[in-house]
Amino acid sequence: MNEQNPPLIEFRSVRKLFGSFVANDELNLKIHQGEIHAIIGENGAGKTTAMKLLFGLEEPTSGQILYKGEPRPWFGPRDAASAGIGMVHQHFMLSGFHTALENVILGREHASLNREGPLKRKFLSGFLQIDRVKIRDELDRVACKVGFNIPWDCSVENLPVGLQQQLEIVKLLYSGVDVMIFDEPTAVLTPQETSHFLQMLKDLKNDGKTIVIITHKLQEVKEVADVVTVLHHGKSVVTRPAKELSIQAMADLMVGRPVKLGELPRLPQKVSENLIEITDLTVVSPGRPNLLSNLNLTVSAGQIVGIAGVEGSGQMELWSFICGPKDYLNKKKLLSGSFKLFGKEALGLRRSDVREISVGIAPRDRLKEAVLIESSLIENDILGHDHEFACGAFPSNQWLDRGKARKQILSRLDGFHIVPCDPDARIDALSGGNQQKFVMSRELTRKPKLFLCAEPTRGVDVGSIELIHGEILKRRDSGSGMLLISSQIEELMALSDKIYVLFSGRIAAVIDRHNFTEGLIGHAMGGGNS
Amino acid sequence: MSSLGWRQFVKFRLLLTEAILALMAVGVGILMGGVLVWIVGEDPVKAILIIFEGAFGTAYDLGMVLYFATILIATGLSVAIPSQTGNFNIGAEGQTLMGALAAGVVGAYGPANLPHGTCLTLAILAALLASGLWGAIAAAIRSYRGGHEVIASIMLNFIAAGVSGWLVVTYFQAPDSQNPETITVPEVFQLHRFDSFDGAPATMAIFIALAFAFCFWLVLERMRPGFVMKAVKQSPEAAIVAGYSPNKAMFWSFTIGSAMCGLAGAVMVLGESWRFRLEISDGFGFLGIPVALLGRSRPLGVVLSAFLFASLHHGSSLLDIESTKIGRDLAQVIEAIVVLSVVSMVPLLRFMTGKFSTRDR
Amino acid sequence: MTELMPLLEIILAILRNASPLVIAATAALFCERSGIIQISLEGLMLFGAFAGAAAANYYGIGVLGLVAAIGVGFVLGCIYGVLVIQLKVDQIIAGTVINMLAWGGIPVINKALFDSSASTPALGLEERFSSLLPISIAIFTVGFTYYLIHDTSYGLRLTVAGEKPEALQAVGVNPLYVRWSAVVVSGVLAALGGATLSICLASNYTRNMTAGRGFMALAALILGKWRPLPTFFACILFGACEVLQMKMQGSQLPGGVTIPSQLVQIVPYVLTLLLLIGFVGASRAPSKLGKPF
Repeated sequence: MNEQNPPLIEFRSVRKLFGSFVANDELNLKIHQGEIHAIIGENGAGKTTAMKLLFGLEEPTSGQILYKGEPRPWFGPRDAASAGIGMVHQHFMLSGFHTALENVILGREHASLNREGPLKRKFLSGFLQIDRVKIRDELDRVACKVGFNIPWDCSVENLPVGLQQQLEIVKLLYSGVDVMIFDEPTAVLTPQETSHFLQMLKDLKNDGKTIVIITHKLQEVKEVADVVTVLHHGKSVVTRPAKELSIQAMADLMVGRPVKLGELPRLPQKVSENLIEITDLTVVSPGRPNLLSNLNLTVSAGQIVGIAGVEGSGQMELWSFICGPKDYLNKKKLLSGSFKLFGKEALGLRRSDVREISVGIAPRDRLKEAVLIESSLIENDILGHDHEFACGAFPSNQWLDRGKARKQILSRLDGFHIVPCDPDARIDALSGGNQQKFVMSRELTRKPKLFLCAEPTRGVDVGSIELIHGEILKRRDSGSGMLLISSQIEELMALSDKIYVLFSGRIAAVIDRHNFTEGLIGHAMGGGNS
Repeated sequence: MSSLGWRQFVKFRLLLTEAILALMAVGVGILMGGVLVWIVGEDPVKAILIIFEGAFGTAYDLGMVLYFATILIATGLSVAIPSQTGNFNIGAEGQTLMGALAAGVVGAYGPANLPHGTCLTLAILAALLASGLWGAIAAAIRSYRGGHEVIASIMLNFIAAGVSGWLVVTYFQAPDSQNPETITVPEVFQLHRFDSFDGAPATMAIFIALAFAFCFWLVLERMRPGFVMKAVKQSPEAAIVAGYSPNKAMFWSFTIGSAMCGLAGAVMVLGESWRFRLEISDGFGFLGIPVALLGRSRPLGVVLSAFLFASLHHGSSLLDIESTKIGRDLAQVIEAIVVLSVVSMVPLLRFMTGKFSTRDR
Repeated sequence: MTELMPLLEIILAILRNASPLVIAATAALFCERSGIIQISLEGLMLFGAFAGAAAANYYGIGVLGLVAAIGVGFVLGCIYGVLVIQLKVDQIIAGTVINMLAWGGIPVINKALFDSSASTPALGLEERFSSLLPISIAIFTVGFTYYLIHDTSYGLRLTVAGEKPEALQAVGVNPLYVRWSAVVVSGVLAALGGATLSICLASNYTRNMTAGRGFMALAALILGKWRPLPTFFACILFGACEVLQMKMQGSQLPGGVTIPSQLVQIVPYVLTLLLLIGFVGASRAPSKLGKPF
């Protein structure tokens, strides 16, 4: 279509490093005027960073970002808006307390729809009365054009998520953008809202807008995009017209070749009693009708069960549920389902109860949830396990036997090759990899019957990955059962005995080890049915 | 590596940093105080010497310092203990009042035929209970209703003044007195004063206060609840994942902290004035905040800081007599500056050094 | 007509009592709606009252007292802003520091200037204002604040700064600037409110003359759920309580029931406490109140 014309926006060999972490690597991207350009990739592939670079929220370490052939002249979202580029974020930038109208006009309360040059405000314009009548008229016009119907005087927090997103879009249109970027736009939409949204994209394109859509949902890409760029580990792998790529092909490219971790020794599966039994679980909350829908899931002793899914697929909901059902169900509604832990009814268990029945937990957000970042290693070892070091007669079992903790910790640190091996060192003196090894050692060396583990090797160097995976397998071989949540498909495939793929709160696929292929898993992750 | 030695060194280094920070804050406070003295036309060195003389000059003065220190350890603990779960107790004035009232009422109307020790224990326990309950109101509002404990505590301070005043005037008024106060408590309820302080109200209550501080240290460093408190303060999210309940921890730390004010109130009533009168708390509850902040909310720090502020408070009263240009209010200015220094020194240093380094994430 | 006189008198008394509260509570409204806790109203009012009385006395012109109060409020607001916005010091502690500086520092300065740590010299009639001035200032402040918050872009950005500063940042407005303006306005208004106490409603400054009004104004703000008009009415209510308490010293209600004055005095605080517990309807503070950006 527009391949002969020069691109409107271009990334040339863009590299972005955060410290030693490579977010974008030799990124090449060409976006032409008037097209719908989809950018797909796994979590951590570099999509969000690329957009931050485009907007000027970050600067590239090397390479160029060009707009109409010249280096981009803006350094922040406001200037970018003057140039006609706007973004609808995945997490909305709306103030729930304020009305729809107020949110849309924020920052441009007195400018009208016809952008006349750069936004210049007089100091006193802050005290002028906002002309709500005129604004409402203009907004109605804008909204009408794309088929929206938004109650302008309703508080945003009372609007359903789909309308909130429409509001974000109107906000962009009201500021007169020509290039619109959407970050995971349909992640929070119902199927009907999604089809409205896709239709709207086509309308916008007909209106002359250029659209960039970042998404995992390959079906939608097929339906609406002109061009697809696949990102993988920070690189742009391929850019092709959408009609040339099948969904399968897109999934394969997105997931990439598996990293050769070396074949880890693995005993054949020796399954015994069910540790986790979830039957027909459906949980909703106000405004979120598909938190968890009709889930059926079992984890047995001696088995590693992987849970695959993109952000928002329900992985973390399931995780929070299992870690502490009673606490999770607070302020939510359990429409149906049962949950058995170690064979016993467990819906009424709080987090503290679950902790005390030989369940090890390694949460996803290491820094925020797994460790006390300002404390020493030994303090962090006691965290969550202080009942093991309880001693003393008066008051009974309320004293902490730190000596006992100290004796045990050295062997723990040793077994996992954690450096520096000093119980009194602060944990933030350890590298990310060592911190994660520490968290793993804290849980695994206590030989839990059930181990719940999310993102076990996030931010970890390759050598430590191998060690952690080895220890996980050792635990499995000794008869523990595990629930493994990861955004890295390679990791899930390397460790799991079976994988449940979640999509939009329900199970899209259950795949046994001998059927593992990246394509199958990636396909299910993107919403395809198996 | 000698592990015991290394461990002590690491801990020692941490404490040393905190101690240096505290000392620097005191230094800045005295310096700024001196500047203020100089501005109003008095000789700063002379003022400092007067304060010293006022605090340590006679045996009576030493006794008064001991008395004030006892009170300030108690109110300082009442701020320090909730700090360990990240809460701020600004309600010590009201809690002290209620504790004092309880001690005064039990002392005045309680069973006077019991042995001395039992009577005192009763009265002090009543005081602890009353101030603990008063603080529990704010704590419950925070933990179970989601309201801000600071606003609630401020309201409760005023309410305590009103309620205690009304109770005294209506039910407990001493018939032979013009002032709104209760009757004098019988001797069996009075705290015995040490002989060597020339009649100053220095009593064995200091040992009770020190014992409380020691218990605080024990719980914090050696017991599981203390561990939970520290976890909750550092990271409520990590505490939840670990199975602890931040709400419960905050409630109890606030309540038990408030109970400490009961000791302060009991000391004022049973040790000094031998009756409850309005406004007996006289700002000592509030002074617990600077005491705790300077003492970094640590048990030993609170004790040392209490003695420091007690000396400052009592010593500066001599300024009213010995100087025409400056009075005892100087102490409060110094207190304010000490607090200011303590909380802004670290951010200030970070601001000044951070200004020249840009970090991406 | 003459039967209305006592009623008019009472209404005026209530307005008189409420005006400093209204001005101070509105000061706190600006600050807290932008996301910053304002607990130093007491100290600000004291500084304003003192500066006002001292300047009016020194220059012999009442207006200069008000100007001095505004100046002092501006400086204190800036100090508070540096502490909580730039240095991100805990807002409650920073506010408490200002209160402590007022309680301790003002007597010291008072003694230096006027040889007494208790009060400033009395102002003559020409140097004072009638109580109509604070009432007018109060009513104007409420009206203008209501307009500002509801109908102007400044008000919109102010309230968004306290709810979701990220949204401001996303449209290129710096939330820190917005908060700075709020803090400075807050200081100025609170000091002005304090000045009306010493210059208009009394004839000098006396030690601790605010007597907790700063905290009462904060309570009114909370009772008024951080909105201008309900806050105004809360202040009126509190003013009425004070008038009631004064009138009731020793007298009896029909029916022979005496409500003790100490309890009437604390009605404002009890009401606020009930609100916090949840008995007087839900209370919603600005979402980001107290959280530095």
